Order: sequence, then C-alpha cells, then structure tokens
Amino acid sequence: MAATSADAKKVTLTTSDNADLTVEREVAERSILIKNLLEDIGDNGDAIPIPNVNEAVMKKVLEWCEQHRKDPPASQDDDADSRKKSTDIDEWDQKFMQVDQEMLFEIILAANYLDIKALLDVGCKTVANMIKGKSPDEIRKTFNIQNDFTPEEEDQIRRENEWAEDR
Amino acid sequence: MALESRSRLSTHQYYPSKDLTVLPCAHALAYCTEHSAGRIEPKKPTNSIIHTVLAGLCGFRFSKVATTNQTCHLRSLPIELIGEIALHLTLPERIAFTLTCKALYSALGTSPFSGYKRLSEEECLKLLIPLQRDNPEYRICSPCKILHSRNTIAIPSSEPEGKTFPLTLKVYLIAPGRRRDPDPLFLYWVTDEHIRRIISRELCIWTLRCFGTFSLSEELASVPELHDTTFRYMMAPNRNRHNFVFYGIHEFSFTKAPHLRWSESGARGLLKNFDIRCCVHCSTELMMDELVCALYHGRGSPDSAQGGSTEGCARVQNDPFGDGCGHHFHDCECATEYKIERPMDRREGEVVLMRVFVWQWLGGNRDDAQSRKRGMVRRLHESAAWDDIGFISGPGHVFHISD
Repeated sequence: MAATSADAKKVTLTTSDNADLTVEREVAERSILIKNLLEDIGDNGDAIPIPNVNEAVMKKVLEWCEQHRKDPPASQDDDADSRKKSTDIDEWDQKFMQVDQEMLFEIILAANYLDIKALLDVGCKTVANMIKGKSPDEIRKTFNIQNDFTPEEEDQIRRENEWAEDR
Repeated sequence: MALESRSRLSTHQYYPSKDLTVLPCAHALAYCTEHSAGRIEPKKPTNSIIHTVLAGLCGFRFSKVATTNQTCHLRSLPIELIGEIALHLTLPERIAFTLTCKALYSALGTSPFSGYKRLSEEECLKLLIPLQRDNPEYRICSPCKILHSRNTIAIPSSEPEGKTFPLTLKVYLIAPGRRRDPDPLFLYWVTDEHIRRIISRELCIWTLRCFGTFSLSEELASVPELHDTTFRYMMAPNRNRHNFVFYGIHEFSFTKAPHLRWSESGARGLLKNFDIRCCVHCSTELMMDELVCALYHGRGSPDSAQGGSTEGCARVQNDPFGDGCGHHFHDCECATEYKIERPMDRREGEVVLMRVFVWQWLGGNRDDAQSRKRGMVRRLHESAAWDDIGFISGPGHVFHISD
C-alpha cells in the first residue's frame, strides 16, 4: 500500500504477516535499516517490507521508537565498554520490557534486524538483569533451558576450573 | 579435681567409625557468621511417596531441573546476541550463564574462566554463592576462593553426640545456656581428624575458623542483674608447620541493670551459662574461681578504675601459683594457655564485658616439654598468624572487639 501525498512524512511498513503499519518517517528512521533503505530507494511512497518481524512485535518496536523519537542518534562512543557494563534501564523502558519472554526475545531479534542499537541494548540489559545473581540452575529455570550436561561432563568442568576443588 | 576429670574421661568409649559429613567449618549450622555465605540452601525436591515408590520400582531418576514443554526462547537468539547479553554481565555472572547448557558453554567459550582467580574475594563470592546453591554438598571457602568438595569436608566420626563426646574431640564449644541439655548444642568442635587433615594440608584452615554471636536475653532471665547480654566467640586456629595451634576468644558483654548491684553471685550466675574451658578436660566449674578472681581479686578489681587481666595462672605443673591466683589447675598436661580480660566502663566503673582467650597446642609435637613453657603456645600461635598474612590483615576476617 502506498502512502498518500498528504502523508508525505509518513512511511508504511509491511510486516511478515502482511500487516501494513503507517508511521511517521522520523519514528521509522530510529531503525538504521529503514533509514538506509529510505535513503537508497528514496521515499516513493511504496510500503517497505519487513519480512522478519510480525505485526505484534513491530507495533511494540514502533511504540518504543515513538517514545524515543527525539533521542540523539547512537554515537561511536556508545559502543564503548562503559555502555555495556551498565545494566541501568530507564523507567519507561523497564515498563515497556515487562512482556512475556517470547515477546522479549522477539523484540531483541527485531531490534537487531532493524538495527536499533538502543532498543537492542535495552533488550539485552533486560535479559542480563534476569540472569544477575542467579545460579546456573536458577538461570535454567528462568529461561526453560534444559541442562544437557551429563554428570560426567559437570565433573569434568569442575575439575578443569578453579572455583571448585577436585580431590 | 584432676583425678575426677580423668576418671570421667576414662568411661568414654571410641565411637564406631562412620562417615558423617560435617559442616565446612566443623560448626553448628547457621551460627557461624564467617561461613554463612551460601548457607541458604534451596529446599531439596520433595517427591511424594508415590513418586518415591515409583522411582524405586522403575529405577527412574528425577532430573535436577524439571523438564517442561515450554520453549526456551533464549536459545532462539543467534550467538552474537547471546554474546551481546553476556557483555552486560560481570565475570561471575558470565561464568554462571555459561554453565547452564552445552550450547551456551560452547557459544560463550571458557575464556572468562581464566580470569576467575584474579577476581577479588567479594567478586568470587558472587559466583561461589550461586554455584553452592546448586551444589549443596560443596562448601564455600572465601579466602581460598573455592568450593571445597565433599571429600574435603567429610570427616569420619566427627560429630559430637549427646552429652558425651568422643575422645577424638580435641576442642569444642557448647552453646550458652545449653550446657545441661540432654542433647547440648555444639557450636564448634575440632577432632583429631580435622587436625590431621589440617597438618597434612588436606583441609583448609579457614574452614575451621568460625565466628558467632548470641543474644542471651532469654537464657539469662534467671540473672536479673544483667540484661542485653551478648556472647561472641571467635575460633581461629592456625597451622604452624606440623603443629596445629588452637586459638579461641569467648567474649561476654552485658548491660547491668541500674537498680541492681553487680555481685559475685551475679557473676557466677552469668558464667555458669557459658562453656568456658582451657582444654577438653576443663569445664566452666573448674574455671569459675579463676574467672571470679579475675573479676574481683586481681589488678583492676571493681574497686579499681582500671580494667585488669589475669593470665593463665596455674597451668605449669611445677609452678602452679606462678603469675595468677592459683585457683584453677589440673594435671591433664595439655599444652594450654589462657588469659582473662575484663575491661571496664571508665565512667561508671562497672565491668562491661569479659573475654577469655585460649591457646592450645594440638597435633605435632604437643607432648614436647617445651610446649608447656609459659608463652610458648602463644608465641607459636603468633608466629603462625604472622605467616598467615590474610588472617591478620585480610578484609573482613579480623575479629573486631570493641572496648
């Protein structure tokens, strides 16, 4: 579906389940992928296909982009280790990320695909916060991870590493 | 008195050998503040009787983690995103994350593990505490930055039972107010086996260093002169080459009821609640006169403005009335020294606390006549403590006693 001339500053995104979502260009351009696409192909009014993201996830991503539309673009410095070390999350973002795990990981995958570094960061920090302070067994329970180490392999890991005594 | 001690001991039998897993510090659960880390263990899965019977019949082994049909969405992330998440984790958290499954173990690699030993003690605990929750049979030793294994902490025949104690017991401490219980609560104990393993370096000395505090308002309800009484103890043995030197401090601090007079009978009433001994052959009753002497007869008695101390006065056989009052001696020939301190509140002129320090030479050459020379055991302890710099200056491991 093409955008009308009255909506010149709007773009339409077609999700993987063929839903069309129309948003302001400024909001959509929080995604580096969409921004580059628009720059490359020009804003001819054609809908932009987003084949890896479904409607529900795209709506969440756009909700985040709407909230952060005025944020300064990510600079090179933001990629520094200092950014990575902190797991502080903005209050609004914390509420935004209060979703089930399926949605949370879909948002992370979408943010990665759409190249929205700040959203990816928030998603990764949310997951990191879910891991913090937990034991391997507790992490498994949190994320439904199956422990596929055999007892022999667990012993082997203990033997090879410095935190457990092997006598 | 001495003969009585000996005859009492001779009635004890060695207990039949059996393996009992002792706590890491040979210490009653939940009382030692030094080894409290990781003590909040997850409840063991309680399988119903039907499950237990079925398990027995079918040979079915319940897995540690319940298998569910729920999808693991985390594993749907590509490796680079897993790595991105790991970047937000500290090293201990990253290691715990890596240990969850084979896929993460291979995705994140084992390179973080190499940095483990460089972590501070506090950082190491952030890994050891969660790991120990998953492996309750392992015990945290913060100075070693390690989880001690079952083999290290399982010591045969070491758990005191009932009123009596096996002859292998070399040091023990019964909880205040519990001395006369049919089943007294042993706060701390050291056996021959502990000493052997310490000397042969199979056991970390830190697992036997314990600290604890008791608030005793209920136990001392019968002593109205005193309230807010607190009992603190530190058990800090040392290894010196082939010697094991026990060092313990018992401290009683109390607030005197302002309307009641602090009396000798009050002191006796207080002290009988505590297990104070210079060696296993001794008892609070044997030491009582010595302790009361320290309070009332020595330098810095209540009439004096100074706090005083009486140092082990009667432990030398040929000089039973050496430096001290001579109230307390017996002929067990243990290489022991002790010191009693009773600092006073300078403003009120009242005794505010009492400390009993005990040094005992165990293992190695303890029968050497040299060991019974005054000051010898203490010097041996100080020398060992000096070698063990971590013990002297390590953060969080110095027993602070405030005057």
